[in-house]
Amino acid sequence: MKTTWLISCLPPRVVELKVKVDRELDPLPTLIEHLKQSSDEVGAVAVFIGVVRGVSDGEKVLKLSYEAHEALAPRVLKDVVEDVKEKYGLIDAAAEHRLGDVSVGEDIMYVLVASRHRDEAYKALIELVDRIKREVPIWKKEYTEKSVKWL
Amino acid sequence: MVKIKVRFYASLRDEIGVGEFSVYLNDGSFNSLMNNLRALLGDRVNRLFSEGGMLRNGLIVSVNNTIVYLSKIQELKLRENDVVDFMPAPSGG
Repeated sequence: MKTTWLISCLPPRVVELKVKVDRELDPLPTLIEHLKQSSDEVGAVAVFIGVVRGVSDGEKVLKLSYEAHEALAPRVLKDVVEDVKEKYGLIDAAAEHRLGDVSVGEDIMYVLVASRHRDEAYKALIELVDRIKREVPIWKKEYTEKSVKWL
Repeated sequence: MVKIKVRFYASLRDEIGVGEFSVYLNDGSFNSLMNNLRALLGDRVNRLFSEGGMLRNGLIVSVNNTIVYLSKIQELKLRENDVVDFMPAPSGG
């Protein structure tokens, strides 16, 4: 009689950071679900949505146009997300940023963090958004009714 | 001589008036690159470097898609076909 031994060698659930710099964002509910599913320990998901404002210094904004260093931006974004995730002990995090033209009222970027409790989620989200704006090589050009300028 | 490619991004590209070009350096040092850019760009190079030859605050430099930190920039040894990118301070979000 042949005996077959089945050995369970399933790896522990690996959480892969979801970062993206592209012309389109993934649907926000999908991203939220992705974070919620990352661990049974998730007790809070905090979300930041950057939106194109319709007025800038009193001028009517027509659109923003985003450009990135396409090789560096996703890599720096991933590094920043990993750094903040580790600093605050987050369970998971995700960040996506659009490129190209974005109209008034449209979403520019999504930043999400998942943690055990809300306190670290709030703090991590603030730091993560600030660092993305400050460190990831992405630039925006603002088109208003009166001017076009890099910001 | 070392041939490298130089690229400018976003506002820097508009202010300097060109997106990319190739330069031939006597050696692969950052000073050699800076002197070459001064000769090629004239006053427009002031957007990149101060009069003292320091890289302007906030600018990002990368070589072959790896960021070079300011403290290490003088140690650069550029090689044939390297790509040097000059980027303004990020303004995403």
